[in-house]
Amino acid sequence: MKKGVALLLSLVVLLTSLTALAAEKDISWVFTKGGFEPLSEENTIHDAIEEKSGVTFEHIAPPSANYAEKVSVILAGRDYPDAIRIPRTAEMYDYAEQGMLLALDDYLKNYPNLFNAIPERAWDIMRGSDGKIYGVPVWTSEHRYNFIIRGDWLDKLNLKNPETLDELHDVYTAFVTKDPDGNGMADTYGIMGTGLETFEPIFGAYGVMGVHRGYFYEDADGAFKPQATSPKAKEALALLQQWYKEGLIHPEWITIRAESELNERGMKNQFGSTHRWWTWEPKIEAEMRKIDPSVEWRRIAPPVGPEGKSGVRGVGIVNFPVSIMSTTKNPEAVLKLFDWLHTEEGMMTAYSGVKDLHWEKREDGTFHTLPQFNEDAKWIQWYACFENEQPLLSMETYLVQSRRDALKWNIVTNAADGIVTEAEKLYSADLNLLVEEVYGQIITGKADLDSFDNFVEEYNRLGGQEWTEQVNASRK
Amino acid sequence: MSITETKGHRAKNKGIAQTRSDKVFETINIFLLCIILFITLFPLLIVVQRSLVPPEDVMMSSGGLSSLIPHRITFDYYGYVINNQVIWRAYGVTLTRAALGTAVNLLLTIMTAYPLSKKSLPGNRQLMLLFFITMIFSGGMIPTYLLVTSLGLQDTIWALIIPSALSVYNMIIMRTFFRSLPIELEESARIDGCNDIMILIRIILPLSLPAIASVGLFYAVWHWNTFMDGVLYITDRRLWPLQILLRETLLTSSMSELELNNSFAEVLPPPQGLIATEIIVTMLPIICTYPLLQKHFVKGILIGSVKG
Amino acid sequence: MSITINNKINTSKRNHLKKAIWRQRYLYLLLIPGLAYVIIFHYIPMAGLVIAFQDYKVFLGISGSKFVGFANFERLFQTSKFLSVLANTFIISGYKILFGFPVPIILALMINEVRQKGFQRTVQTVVYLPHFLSWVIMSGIVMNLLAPGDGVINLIIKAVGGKPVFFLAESSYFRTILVVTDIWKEMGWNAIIYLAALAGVPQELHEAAVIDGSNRLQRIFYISLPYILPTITVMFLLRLGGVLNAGFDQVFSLYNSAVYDVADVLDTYVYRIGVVDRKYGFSTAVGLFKSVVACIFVLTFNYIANKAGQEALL
Repeated sequence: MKKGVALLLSLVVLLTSLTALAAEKDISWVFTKGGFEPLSEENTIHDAIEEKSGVTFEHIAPPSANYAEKVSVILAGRDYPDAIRIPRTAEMYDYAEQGMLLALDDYLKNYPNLFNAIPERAWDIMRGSDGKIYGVPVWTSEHRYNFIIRGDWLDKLNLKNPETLDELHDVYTAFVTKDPDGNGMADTYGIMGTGLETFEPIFGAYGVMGVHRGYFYEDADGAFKPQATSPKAKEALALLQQWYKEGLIHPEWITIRAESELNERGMKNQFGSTHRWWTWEPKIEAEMRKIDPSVEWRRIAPPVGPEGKSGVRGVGIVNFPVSIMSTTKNPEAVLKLFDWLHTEEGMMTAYSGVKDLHWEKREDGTFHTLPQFNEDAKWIQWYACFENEQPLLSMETYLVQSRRDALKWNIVTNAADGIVTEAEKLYSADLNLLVEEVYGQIITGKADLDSFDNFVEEYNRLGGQEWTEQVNASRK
Repeated sequence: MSITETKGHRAKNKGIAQTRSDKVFETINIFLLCIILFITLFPLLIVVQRSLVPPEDVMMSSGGLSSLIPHRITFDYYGYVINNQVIWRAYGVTLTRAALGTAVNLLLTIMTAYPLSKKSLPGNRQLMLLFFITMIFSGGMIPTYLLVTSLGLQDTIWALIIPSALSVYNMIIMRTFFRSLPIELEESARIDGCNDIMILIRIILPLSLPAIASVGLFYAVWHWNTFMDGVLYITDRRLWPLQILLRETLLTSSMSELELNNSFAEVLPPPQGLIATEIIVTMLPIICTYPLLQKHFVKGILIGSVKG
Repeated sequence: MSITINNKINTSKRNHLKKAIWRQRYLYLLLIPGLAYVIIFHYIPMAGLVIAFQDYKVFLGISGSKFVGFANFERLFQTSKFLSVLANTFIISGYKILFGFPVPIILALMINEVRQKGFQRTVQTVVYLPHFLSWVIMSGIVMNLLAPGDGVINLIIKAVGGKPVFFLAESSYFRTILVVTDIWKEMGWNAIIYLAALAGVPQELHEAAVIDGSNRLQRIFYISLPYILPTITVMFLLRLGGVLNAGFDQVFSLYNSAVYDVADVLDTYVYRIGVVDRKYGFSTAVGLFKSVVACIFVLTFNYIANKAGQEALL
């Protein structure tokens, strides 16, 4: 009893007196790479980054689940960091207007690694209403998705990789009727996913994409129009409605929103194909191979539609910005750090750990992990705020082929990527919801295909019209 | 009945003869409770099962009740969790805040509920209104954050205790209990010359054990489960309470893209089994608290002299 | 003449009051920490409610942000979804109160009647366990149970010859699922307070009733239940304080596009807006709206309770 009290008291004393015991650092930087275990500040990667960049930094890492709230209170308070990852690009414009962020244009010429590593279009998205750059974009190439199918089932049923929508339809019918997982139950479907994302390769075959994400396309006259109301979307819906009626689509596509739930059904052989962010399939394949080594989740090109189009989703080029606060006392230190992080070694260190400890570069120029990588895998990407393409594509892990293949496919992108409008802020949440509702009803057969026309009217009425006009107006 | 300990409604009934209709009632009652027992145990069984089943076997299960019985058991997940320093440190933080916090909570709650339980106290209604309003209206996250940080509480354990020092909800519950005590108790004590504080400590509290136990439990569980104050006020990761840790692993594997930027897909999601184990380990201490408190859910010693 | 008598009465009233206050001075002393806490940590931040009437910008703070009157509220009330979202909130919350409020009471009464101590303790301990599982976990379990193909519920339905139902995607079932699973998860926890209250029922009352020939059920109705009625009333009033909280975590984890029309509640709506457009003025306005509605409900029922001679909040 006494010991317990003593322990408790000492813990209390420790916790009440824990002030900033850390040594003075050059700069402080707020960002989180979630899902990793929290680290003490003294670790090999932090040390390596500081040593090689010549800048010491304090890493403030709020919990990823509530990152946006924490950033809001940090910005509402008085204690500003030097650099901060802003949750959404739209917020950056807002903060820039209030004068909270530092304009980077004049500085960037001194930091060539940083400036040249990032495409110009990404920098342009970072420009505020005065045309100045207010953040370093964490950018990605638009290729992030794969269309995946059970290769072992195709082989078992003597089918070749489907290339057109018709071929895909036949493959799905085979999956459903011929019991490829051999469990004697008719519980297998052709395709599944989480929500409308499931069908994006099908939509892509009609040149349609991102209907519930507010994607736009450029029509024949060069005007931008919403994908969600395009007549091609209606054609795709007709097909999907038919396929659903034939039982080719797993019914839980509409209720499952968590990836863990999807994976569970995948592991139980309940569906034969899906469309997901890269590296999904090697992970699940590795899990499943522990029981059945013949399992193969194969990446194939998205199906070609009646007019010869095809595509997986092309993501927006900028994920979010990392901005420097205008109150910073040491902007050069921040930029020096960022600059180093965009050199080859910097990128690799942030992403995969310390050179020659966690990974090595071989004579042939390829990068391979060392045993310590697996030891420290639980936190190794803790500092990978910038997530540059290069390390993702070069580190030889079991995931890398998934990424390299993703670059091969056709993509359909958002023509209006990077355009932010007031209408979007006001209406997009409701409009995207409407799309999900109506499309879901049509696909599952609860609503007629003709209700699409009413939907188009409603979409425009509820703000879609305004949004379209504003998007077209802000094109430079 | 003589001046003896009464154990409330519990141990008695033994002395009362059981009629036939009583026995029928009892049988039905127990039968229904068994059903309820099973359906409330079920979700926990699933989580326990997930924490013990090796990942390969997850694939084999066909869903349904038969999958509740695992073919193979592994303690690997528990091994990992138990050997994990990070989890133990978070445990320490949570335990400390729960213990300290509940103590502060109970003290403040009793001190506030007792005077308000006296309807004759001048200004009682107005004071109660003052407290009540704070239960319904709140300034929100940012103003509260600004206040707490202006007091310099951030990154200390006090940020997890003081801003939540009193729950008006719990205080009202405590007040209701105090009001249920017979007024004669106080009157006889007052005749004996006790002042209000002595009455509170010597007479009211010993008789209020069920209330203190339940309100204490409510506070303790709240401290155990809450995470938002940790998110806002604790920046130092070493001070992260358990729930934040749990949410990090839990949510990255299950939340949709909308919350986490697409970049999080780079992360290897922790296996279901590990999450389940962390949940069990996080829950264990707090679910053990209630059984320990149950013996206090009986009325304290009833002073015989009051009756008759 | 009458003025001086009135004055004398008033002064004596005041003296009376002063004496009463002085006599109970220790009680006021006890109240000081609680009052201080509430003023510092609740009333001072409450000034931040003004954000609801501002176009709040973090950098400008409260003092620098522009005052916009009721613009934030207008945005809420004028959105096409407002009525449907508000209706859903009331309906779901209403069902939860209507069905979910009595269940823990009944459960507590049932547990209280068990004579075998071991069994009683076991039930008490087990029945509150689901409270500790977050909705993220529970929703996964619920989805598995209700899965259209191989979920347990549908397997049972198929076994008795019925047609399987995709419950989670059917608007007609969804609210029921919300209410039932919420009761499932919380009934044990909510019963604790009633069990504690039942611990205080005097032994003699039961003994006397038995002598008079009452059976168990009658004793429950005429002794146990009335004894805990003050607790029930107070708990009901407290519950009403959350009348516009339909359960964000639960709804968010379980809802999907097939059931938005019946499941989208105020909190989920505001959340989705917040993802796209983080305006504090708006979310504060919604919070204020909820508070005002809750206040009206609680005060109304409080008044009714007082009139009915029952224990109330105020």
